[in-house]
Formats: sequence, C-alpha cells, structure tokens
Amino acid sequence: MAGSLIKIDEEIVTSAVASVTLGGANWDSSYDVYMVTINNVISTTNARILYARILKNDNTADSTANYDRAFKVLRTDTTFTNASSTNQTEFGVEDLGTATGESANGIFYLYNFNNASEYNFCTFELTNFDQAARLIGGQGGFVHTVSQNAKGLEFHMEASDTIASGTFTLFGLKK
Amino acid sequence: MGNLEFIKSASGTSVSSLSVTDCFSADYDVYEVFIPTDDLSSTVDTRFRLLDSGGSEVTATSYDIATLTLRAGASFAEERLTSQDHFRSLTAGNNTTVGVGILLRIFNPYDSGSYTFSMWQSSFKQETLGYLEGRKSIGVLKQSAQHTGLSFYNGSGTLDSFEVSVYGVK
Repeated sequence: MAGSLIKIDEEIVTSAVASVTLGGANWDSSYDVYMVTINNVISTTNARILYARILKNDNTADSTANYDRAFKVLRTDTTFTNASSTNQTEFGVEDLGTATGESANGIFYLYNFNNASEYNFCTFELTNFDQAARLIGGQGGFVHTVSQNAKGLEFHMEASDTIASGTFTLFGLKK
Repeated sequence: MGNLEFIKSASGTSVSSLSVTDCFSADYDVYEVFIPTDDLSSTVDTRFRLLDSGGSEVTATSYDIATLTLRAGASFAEERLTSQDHFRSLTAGNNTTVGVGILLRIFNPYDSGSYTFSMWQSSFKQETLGYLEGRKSIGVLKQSAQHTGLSFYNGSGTLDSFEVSVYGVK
C-alpha cells in the first residue's frame, strides 16, 4: 500500500551549483503540508552561509524583504541564543565550512504554500557542523509575509558562491 | 514515489541495553526512530550509541551534544557536551509506568564519507521533580565511517520495557 509521504522532487548535488530549486516546475499543489529534508550539504567556499528563499508562482525565488524568522540556536560552544529578525530578503540556514565533517542537515515543514490568501510559513529543525567545527542547529520557524501561492524552496550560498554537494528532497503529506 | 518506510523494530524487557542492528543501509539518508518507551528502571538519563560496520558499539569520544530541556515546573536548562563516548539525555529516566515518548532522527549514518548527525525530542514526566519535561537536542558523531545500527541503554539500571522502531525516509 502506498504511504502518505510522497516524494515530489529531489536534487542530488555532486558538483558545484549556484542554487538548488525544490518544487518549481515540479511542484504538486495537491498537499496542505510539505516536508523538505536536506542532508550532507557542503559549501564550495569556507565560511559561507546557506540561504533559503520561497519559490514564487513563476518558479523564481522571492527576494523581497518579507522574511521574518525566530528560532532557538542550540550549540556546543556557548550559551544557547535566540535568533530573530524581520523583513529580511532570505532565510539563513547555516554558516558552512569546507573542513572534514562540516555540513548542514535538517528538516523543514512548509505550510500554506497553495493558499493565495495566507502567508507562507515554515518550521525547521537543523543539526549542523559549521565553519568553526562546532555542533550548532536552529529550532524554530520563518514566515514570508506576503499572501501568495508558492511552489517550493530555493537554496543558494552567500556571495554568489556555490553548493559543492548535498541532497535536497521535497515530499508532500498525503491526507 | 517516496515514503516513510518501516525498516525494523526491537524491544526488550529488563535489559541492560537494546541494540537495533543492521537498520541503516545505502537505501536511505534520513531515518526516523520512534521510541514509545513504557518503563525504565532508574531516573538516570537514557543514552545511545551508533553501531559500526561490524555491529559493535562506537565508544570513541567523538560524540557532541547540545540539549535544551523544557520544564513545566522550572526554568528551562541547557546542556552542552563535546567529546563524549555516547549521545545522552534522551530522557531524564523514568522509574514508573507513566511512559515516555521519543522521536529521534539520524542523518547520513551509512555514508562512510560524512559525519553522522542526529536530533531528538522527547516528552516525559520528570519523576524526581514531578512535572512534565521535554528535550530538544542535536548531536554529531565526528567520525566519517559507516554505521549500521543503534544501541540504547540507561546511565544506570535497566530498560524495563523499551521499544524502538526505525523508519527510512525515501
């Protein structure tokens, strides 16, 4: 019997790319809730932030200053911190490095992406080994404060650098 | 077609440890592990280790953990540990039958070229203090090696009634 976690799109990066889009032309609007997994995502250049943006209805990333975020940062090197900001142009996932083991891993849940009268919400949990060789990860959410349909997520690196490798997968939660 | 695919489960009664062998493979990168524990034998935290390609526990001091403890009856607390020989603080233990629930996620355990990452969350009654407590944790095993399974144990005492089910995300 088919299950209820339906794979919609997957991008396996094995050579450097400027960005990864999940959904877009492959978006399936059949679902109310979507799950995105990222695993073993590595930057080409040391000390570069991995960013995420909402894919708009035209399959392009939304770079308008409408991203609000709030999350708890769990880390091994110092006291946990609260991270929050409003009206950003993107969501920063993690500051990545290139040394052994340094990578980003996590799960995102996407809400209201097919509802043109609501904002696009996302909750996430991340577990990463960052550019300072420390365990660090956010637990929280972000919202894109525009009422619009959306068609997935786009991931890219800071300063037009590239993603060296990683696996990005989009699922729909079937009812 | 994707799915959350059941791989295997294991359970034990009054055991010092419980291993789930050969539950990781090249078929999956991400795993979800559900632990609807019923009963432990002490109020010491529940712990786990990865199993190496030969099925032995990885006891190297290469585990890092960051845990936020959420408490219904007291201030939240933080735990930051590096270079441990296990992942710890799944729960604070439980010596009654009121139960515990744990969701554990594992990333890249079978990939010999990457570190193995984990995250878990749990909800249980803090028996010593008598209120609801929960854990939100992240962890990394700083070892680029192939891992094939998990082994659970308590800081002291036995796992009196412990059940583990492993699913692959595909």
